[in-house]
Amino acid sequence: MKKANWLLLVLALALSMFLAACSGGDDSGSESDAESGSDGEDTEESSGGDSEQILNITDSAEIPTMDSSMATDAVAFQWLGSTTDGLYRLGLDTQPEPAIAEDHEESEDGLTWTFNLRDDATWSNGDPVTAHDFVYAWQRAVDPDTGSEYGPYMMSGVIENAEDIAAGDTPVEELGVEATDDYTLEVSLEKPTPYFESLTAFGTFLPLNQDFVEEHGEDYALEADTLLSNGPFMFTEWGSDGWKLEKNEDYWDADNVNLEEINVSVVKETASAVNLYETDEIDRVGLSSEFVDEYRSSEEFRIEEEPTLFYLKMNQENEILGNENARKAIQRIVDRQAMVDTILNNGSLVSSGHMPQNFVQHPETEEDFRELNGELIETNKEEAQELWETAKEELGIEEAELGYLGGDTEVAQQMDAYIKDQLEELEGLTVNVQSVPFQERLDRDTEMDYDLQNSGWGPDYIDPNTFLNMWITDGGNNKTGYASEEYDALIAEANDELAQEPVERFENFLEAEKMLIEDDAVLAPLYQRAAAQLWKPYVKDVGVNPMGADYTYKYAYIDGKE
Amino acid sequence: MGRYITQRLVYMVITMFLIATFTFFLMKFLPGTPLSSADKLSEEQQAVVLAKYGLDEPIPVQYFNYMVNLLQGDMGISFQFDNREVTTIILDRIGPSLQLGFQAMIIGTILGMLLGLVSAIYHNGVLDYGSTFTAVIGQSIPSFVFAGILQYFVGVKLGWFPVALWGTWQHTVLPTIALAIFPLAIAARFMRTEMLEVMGSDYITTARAKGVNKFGVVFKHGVRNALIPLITVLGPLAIGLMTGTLVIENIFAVPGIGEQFVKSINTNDYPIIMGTTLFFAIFFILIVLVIDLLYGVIDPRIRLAEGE
Amino acid sequence: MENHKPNKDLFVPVDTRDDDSEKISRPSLSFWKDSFIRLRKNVGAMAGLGVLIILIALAALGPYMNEYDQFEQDLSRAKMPPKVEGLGWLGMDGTLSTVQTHESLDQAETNALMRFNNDEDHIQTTVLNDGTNGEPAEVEAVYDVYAAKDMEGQNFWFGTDGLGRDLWTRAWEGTRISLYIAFLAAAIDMIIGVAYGGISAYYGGRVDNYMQRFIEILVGIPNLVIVILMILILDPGILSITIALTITGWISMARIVRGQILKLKNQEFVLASRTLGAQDGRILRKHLIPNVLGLIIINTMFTIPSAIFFEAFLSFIGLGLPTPLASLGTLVEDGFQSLQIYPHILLFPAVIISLIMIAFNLLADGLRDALDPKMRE
Repeated sequence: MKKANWLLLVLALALSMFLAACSGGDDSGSESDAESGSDGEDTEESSGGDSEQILNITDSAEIPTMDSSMATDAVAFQWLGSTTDGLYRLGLDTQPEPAIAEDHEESEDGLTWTFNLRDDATWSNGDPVTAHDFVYAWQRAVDPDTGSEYGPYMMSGVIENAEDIAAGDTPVEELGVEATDDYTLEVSLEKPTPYFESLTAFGTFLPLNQDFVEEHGEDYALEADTLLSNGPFMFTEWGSDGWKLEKNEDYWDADNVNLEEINVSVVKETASAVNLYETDEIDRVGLSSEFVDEYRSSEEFRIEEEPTLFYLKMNQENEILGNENARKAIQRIVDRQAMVDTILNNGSLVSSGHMPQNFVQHPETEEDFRELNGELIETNKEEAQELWETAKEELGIEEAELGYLGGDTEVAQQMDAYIKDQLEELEGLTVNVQSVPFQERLDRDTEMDYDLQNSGWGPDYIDPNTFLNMWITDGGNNKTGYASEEYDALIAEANDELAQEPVERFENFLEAEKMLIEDDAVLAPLYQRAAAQLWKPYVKDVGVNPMGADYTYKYAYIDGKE
Repeated sequence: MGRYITQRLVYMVITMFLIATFTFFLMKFLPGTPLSSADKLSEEQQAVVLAKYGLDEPIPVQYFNYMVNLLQGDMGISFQFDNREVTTIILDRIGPSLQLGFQAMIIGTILGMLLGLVSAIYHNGVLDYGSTFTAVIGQSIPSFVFAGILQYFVGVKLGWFPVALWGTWQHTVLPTIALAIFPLAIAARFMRTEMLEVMGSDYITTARAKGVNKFGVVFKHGVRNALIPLITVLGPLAIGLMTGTLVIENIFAVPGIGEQFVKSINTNDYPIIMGTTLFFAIFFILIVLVIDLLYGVIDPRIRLAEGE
Repeated sequence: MENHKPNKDLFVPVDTRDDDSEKISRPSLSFWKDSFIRLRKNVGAMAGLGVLIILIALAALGPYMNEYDQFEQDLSRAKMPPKVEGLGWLGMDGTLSTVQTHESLDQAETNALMRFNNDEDHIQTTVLNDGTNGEPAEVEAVYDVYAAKDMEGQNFWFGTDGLGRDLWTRAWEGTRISLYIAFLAAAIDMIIGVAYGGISAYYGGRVDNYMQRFIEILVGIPNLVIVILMILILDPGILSITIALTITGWISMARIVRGQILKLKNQEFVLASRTLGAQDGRILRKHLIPNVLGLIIINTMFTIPSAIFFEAFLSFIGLGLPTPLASLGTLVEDGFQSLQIYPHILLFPAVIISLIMIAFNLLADGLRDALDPKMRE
């Protein structure tokens, strides 16, 4: 009896563990069956007969928030853009096209913009989309009590009183936005803002349905059922493993929306995503440099240029980097062509200034900004060494040691090792690579606790200002210690007196870039990012945007999928 | 026994309290705030955000609040996922991790024990070398390499199971195998060592002398005594699996807790780090309790609560 | 039946000597000497030891065996496949190959050439399947990378990585660092873990209780948090990783030792020793520890892979050694990214890790058998 006792217990224990595991498995199995059961069916359906209008893709991170006032990152803006229409949205040609606004009038002085809204747009709960929704959303975004990061950042200096409201000095109601009637929105600007139209396509400027937001309070935008849509798609499922969007049948432009469903899964490893693509589970995948070698010859291979720049930030409070010649030496020493070709290997371009290619054009001649200013920096090792020698003499040093805060892209490790190696070609220079988590890097940037930093910047709106405005003295994202009255004057002039003189304004920016890179050597440009991807050939008409949402799925469709 | 368990439960509460305190101050020691890009915020706004997370109070007050909230099961809200409760996030993600962990643990230890048994019974025979080799290989290849190979060959080339994502039981097959390899190797090696030791003891010789056949001896006397040290490693192994899953979860895109944990570290999301830490701690303490109780059941020589 | 009485004359008294009974017929051996002799007889253990010695020798000398430096970069020779003169038949002939499949033979051929940048002079294409049998055409292209880059005089025995660094040199440099981390972790495990577990179990009662609660607190905090704290306080590097391993590494050893000693301490031989007046320290050292030595050694051998793997794991989540330092962990993780395309980057460090593991395991087994007093003949 006693002998049998322990055996029984062990058995019971093992059994209960088994049962726990099994029931656990069953539970989640049946749960996800309910969820993904439909997935299974869909893929079956789609694999037979006519092309089902279902797009399966992956994202590399979870959605942090779907509250447009609180959104700060690419993933959030992507899905806000797919579910919500603002005044304007970016079309397939990447130019703003009418969305909730049918058109707008600009006053002579460029300070008052009147938007005429369409009256047939509705929220997915049936409420009409009105001018009041914009007023509410913009006021909410700028209200300091909301704690929005992008609201004040995007609106200050643009919309009347935004700056004072964000600082808590002025009541929210004073914000320069007013609904003159249900379908007319009048916006008063602080100063003429030529790029305001493209700004209204940005996530922070999307409308919000006040009743709905207030009804759900803190739970707003946390789940698929506490979200409202007025755009081409709406959330139907949203879990930790991904989310699912379905076509919004009540969308004002529903006739032009072809996709019935978009399924997004979160996959962080490139190899896993490629394997999913290979087994036809997903329709698009981003490639790392190794995979580019393998797939370069594929018909499904595509390279997408992005207007995102990467560069070395040099902290001028550092004794060595305070020396202009030292900075110029660093600008010229890194062989960026080899870096772009071998390490990145994804179609990224060598950047030789602080404005991406094919991003903004001269208002009259249509020439590209980059073309006009040309290559401001070319790699030249000999010149770099000479500059470096001069710098050492000026500083009275023989050897130098600099810290380098690494990047956080997929190729970061290799990139950091390469840049360290290249920089150390400067005689007597030692570079210490510091790998820190992304968040830590941001903190160190804010506190200017770095020497060299691999940093990147993508545009918030389509205007040279988005790249050049940040380097003004004490600018929020400057953090290099760069302070030049001349530069400040150029930017200020472009944004004030010249705001309505597109040509002169453009020339100001050209000059500012030259000053920033060529004369003052504030940054060492590295590369303009591109993405190498594989797209299933049956996915058509996905728009690729330079700012805000990365992709426009509104017009996308599936054709020819077997 | 009942008294013993009550006593242990009291200790558990004390331990949890200490762990919570320790983690709290550890987190205060690390840099970073919920302001992901503080430079974009005016001072007024920063104050609002800090107040939202209760970070505007002096640290002792924050500590007190944290503890009080903790008692009510509230671990605060995440920094990176706006307004989302830490408790909800953990509960959302614990399912897949637990399922994978349990499956890997059970398959791993049972197969491992069998392998170890075979090794010990056929000591120095071909089977011994074979199973030892299997165990060694299983332990020698980093699990993420193994996972990558599994995914590519079994998933892509053979197409037997889904290469990644979560949903049906088929999705759990590859990650479970990848995870099970390590406990399998550990269990096999411990089992072998212990069985060899036990099989050399006098009472086994006695039993054999009394005419009990070989397998009878192995199962009636040997296995039971060999289980004790094996059970000791199960605890750390279980917690190791929990954190170890994050590599596997990343590769197979499983929405589990390990993956979330690392992401939180990278984003300085302290509420989630603290919450997950506490969760792991509770899990582990429970496992230790169960193991200690099992000791007594399996080996009566170990007297519980001795000297108290 | 006659009772034969043996004749007294048949017996001769033995010439007794005083020291005879004290004579030891076999050579006197200490415990450790005896163990060593038995270890030497164990083929597996000796093989393991041999492999370890070779690996350590290579780690020491390997980096000096060719002209490349571990940090020397040259992007023009990135991702070169391995090439060893005379080992071409092993696949180490410095070529890359691809098989391209397409509906039409021409297109398959074009694709195969395009895979290697249309460098036709150095590509050999073979048609595996011309597509006439209804299945898609298959063309294999073999690309002689060394010839294409005009580097026929050079040999990268393990190939190069994405930055053109010589993997042979890096692999052995990495082995050094990994072995250092592993040995240190094992040593610390042993010292702290055994002492802690032994004391905790032997004294039992309140001491045991407090010590176990302390362990529970330590284990309850995931290692990662401590590692990150360390990395923030110290500069990221070998030192902080080692300290991090030190802080939590000994715990499982302590638990195992405690479990064993709990089992042993009430056994008769301990009781006997205590009755005879042995001090606690002596009982622990002379009676209990030797009896759990087998387990201690086995467990130590398990810490070595887990230390190496922990380091690899840290690399995997981006908290490993700062670039460009190499360890087996960072090399494996680096190679993992290109597992499907350039397997050689992963292969060699992975094989070295596996060899180290296998060697340690064989040696551990041998030691276990050798150290076990019960196996004494």
